[in-house]
Amino acid sequence: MEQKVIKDSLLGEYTYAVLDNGLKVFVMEKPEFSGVYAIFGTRYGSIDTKFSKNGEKEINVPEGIAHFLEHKLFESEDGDAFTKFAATGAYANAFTSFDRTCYLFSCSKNFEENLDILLSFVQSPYFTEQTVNKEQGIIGQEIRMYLDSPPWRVLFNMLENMYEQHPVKIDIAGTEKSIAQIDAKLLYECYNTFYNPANMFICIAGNVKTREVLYKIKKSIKPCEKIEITRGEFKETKKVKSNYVSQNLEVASLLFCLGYKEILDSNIATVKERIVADILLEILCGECSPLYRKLTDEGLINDEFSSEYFVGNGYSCFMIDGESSFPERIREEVEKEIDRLKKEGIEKELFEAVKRSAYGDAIKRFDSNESIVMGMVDCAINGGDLFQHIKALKEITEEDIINRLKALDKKSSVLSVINKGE
Amino acid sequence: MSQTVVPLGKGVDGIFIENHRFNTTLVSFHFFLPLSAENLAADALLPYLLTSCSKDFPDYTALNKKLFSLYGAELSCQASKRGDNLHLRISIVVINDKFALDGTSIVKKATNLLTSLIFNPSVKNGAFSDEDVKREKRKTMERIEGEINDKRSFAKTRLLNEMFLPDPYGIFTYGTVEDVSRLDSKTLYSAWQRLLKSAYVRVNVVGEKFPEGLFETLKENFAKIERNDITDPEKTTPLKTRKEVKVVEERYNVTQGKLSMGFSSETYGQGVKTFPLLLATDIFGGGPYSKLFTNVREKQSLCYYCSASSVRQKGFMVVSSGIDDKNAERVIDAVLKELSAVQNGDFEEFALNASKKAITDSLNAYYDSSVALDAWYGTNFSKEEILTPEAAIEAINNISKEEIMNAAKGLKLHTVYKLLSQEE
Repeated sequence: MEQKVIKDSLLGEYTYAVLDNGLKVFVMEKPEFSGVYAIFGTRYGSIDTKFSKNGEKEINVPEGIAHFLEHKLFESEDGDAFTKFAATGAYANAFTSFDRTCYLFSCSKNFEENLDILLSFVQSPYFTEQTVNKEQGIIGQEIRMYLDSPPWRVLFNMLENMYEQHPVKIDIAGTEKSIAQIDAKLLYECYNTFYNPANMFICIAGNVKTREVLYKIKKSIKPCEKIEITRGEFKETKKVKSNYVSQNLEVASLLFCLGYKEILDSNIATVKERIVADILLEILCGECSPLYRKLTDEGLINDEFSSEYFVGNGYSCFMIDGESSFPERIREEVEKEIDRLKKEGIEKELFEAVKRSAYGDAIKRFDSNESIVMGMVDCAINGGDLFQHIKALKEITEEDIINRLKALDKKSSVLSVINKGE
Repeated sequence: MSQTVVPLGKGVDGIFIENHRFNTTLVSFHFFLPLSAENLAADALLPYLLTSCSKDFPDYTALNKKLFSLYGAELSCQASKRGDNLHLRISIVVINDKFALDGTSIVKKATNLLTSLIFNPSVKNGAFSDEDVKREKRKTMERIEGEINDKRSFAKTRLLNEMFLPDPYGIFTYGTVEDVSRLDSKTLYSAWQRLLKSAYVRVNVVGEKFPEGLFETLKENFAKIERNDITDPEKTTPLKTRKEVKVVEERYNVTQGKLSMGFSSETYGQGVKTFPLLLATDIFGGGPYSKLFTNVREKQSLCYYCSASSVRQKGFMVVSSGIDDKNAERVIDAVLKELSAVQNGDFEEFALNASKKAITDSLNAYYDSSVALDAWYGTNFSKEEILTPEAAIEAINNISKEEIMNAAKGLKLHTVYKLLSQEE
């Protein structure tokens, strides 16, 4: 086992260990806290629809299978994991996103018992034809429910038009058609590939003792052979299918999502690329920006307006969304502001304020065990350490921001709108 | 962790909640004003106006830049209904001085900023600026109209309308679009005066060090104001039971129906006496061990979700569920059957213990979050000894099965609201 302690003079320290089977473990002791937050997760999400293991032939699996697997894993032969957690008083949950599946609990009592439950059910798959059939009904309903959800639709309509190949464009839960192809055999196939310890991580923060936690984890992880996973490549260019897409749904006001597609040099964005993107969006349309002021004063946006750097394995996109009766006007104004920034550069005072605010946000994250653990999960998937953000932030210059502005290319943008109506 | 209430003026109390777990300090003002159909729209909009600009920062871009340069100090506000009152919160969270890269006292700066937003807003000749009022009115109206976008919460809002009106508790927290559209820079000024003169005010500070001089400044500020008719923050008028259940049905363009059921409760108010209702609601429709989850959702597969929550201060409970339209009546019957089981004590020891554990576990977690601590102390008003989460845990553990059954027996179906899809 490889083990090291990573320190920051103001924010404390945590332990990072890699077990012999490849499992990554992150533990941050917070003895002054009452509670603990823990995640047992795998680098496996909705985008992992094409892969091969140990150099074997590449296979394709139905969209939505990672999410389906998450649902099924909560059930084991000897009863539902939810029920077991309920008996201890812990809060338990699970989620699947584009690039990860996480099983979590938070508690202030009975930590050891809860950790046992978590370690046990995630390692005990139990799928039969009968339970798979039942789940198809339940998830089918969940997929239909999301068809009613305007914020969900506006995002996926944008992604569907932005990406030719990349499965990030498909609803995380898949489609009713795709999940109908899932069976117990396929679930075991995916489980045995992606739930191999070498592809997994355990992240814990709170009132715990690192030594005891590591001991328990080592003892409880079932022995198995390391697996080499090769993830499928999805060829994307700057080209988008269409620059505009709209759908009618029952909404009070129009919803929009404006995305700018970017092709990075490597599949995974570096820390610096992430920070620069966040700062760029703040300067372009954050609450201190001239654009935000203009759009608010003209009555074009409200408190729902926000921006996000949307990034993962093989995709990178600058996203601006909100409610507005005039989405086309917003697009126009965003374009104008991008051109202005390219020409005139960035206001020094604004740049410094945004950087300071980003620094403060990074400090604030350490106030909550949950956000510390979410940060650990990001490190497990993308590499790096918990304090790298603060260090890297200090190095960012105005020039970095200006250079990145090139990524915001009108031709690679998609505006998605949800209109009022049937 | 000990807390003492410091009187800062007539109907103004401050509390320092010392806690060494956080890298931040939180300062929060809680204001309580009577809920009234006439004033609600103005009162609820006021915190948004006050946190958008001030005399020192006449526009929101300048104010936001200031907040950013204070290392992303987070200014936030909220309006909510509590008993017979409207509860307004304005707070700021800022990282502690030791993290400041330039060695300045950012906590003090942030605290001063917050105080000046409340006492020194951008007003002239008895009015706010038209431009600021117009902007905040538009955003509020869009917030009210946007309520329909999330059908799950919309179904609950509609239920409360039908359950409570003409009690102003039934109005949406931000009022109606018509009410908001009538507001002007003078009515907002009156709302600000009302806030300063007659609201009960609670000021919470959560952090490791008390911001020096804060309470003295507040004392001076409040001493300059003639304060009268102070709102009783605990006042609440419970819902009367109905002889015949009111049923309302509406149709929208949705694929999944929503069913909300409202119950009046004989238990209401605050403190330990309402804990049996908290447990009864949780065993009935809270966690995964609850009656609604295990029976109605899992075993009978009648709902996509089905859960209960109670608002103890006002004294009522709501069951929210997502359903197939055709199942509406079956769900109502099933929910009532489960409630009567709780009333008759027909629930397992396992559920009772699990519920106590879940509630006490989450009470323990209050100490891990400054926002949660602020919410807790912002709504605990006892003059003698303020109930701590720790004391609440002990009280929860001592509640008997009989007390829970009795609280459940005080729940009576009052109103049913169905949001169904368009008929084929």
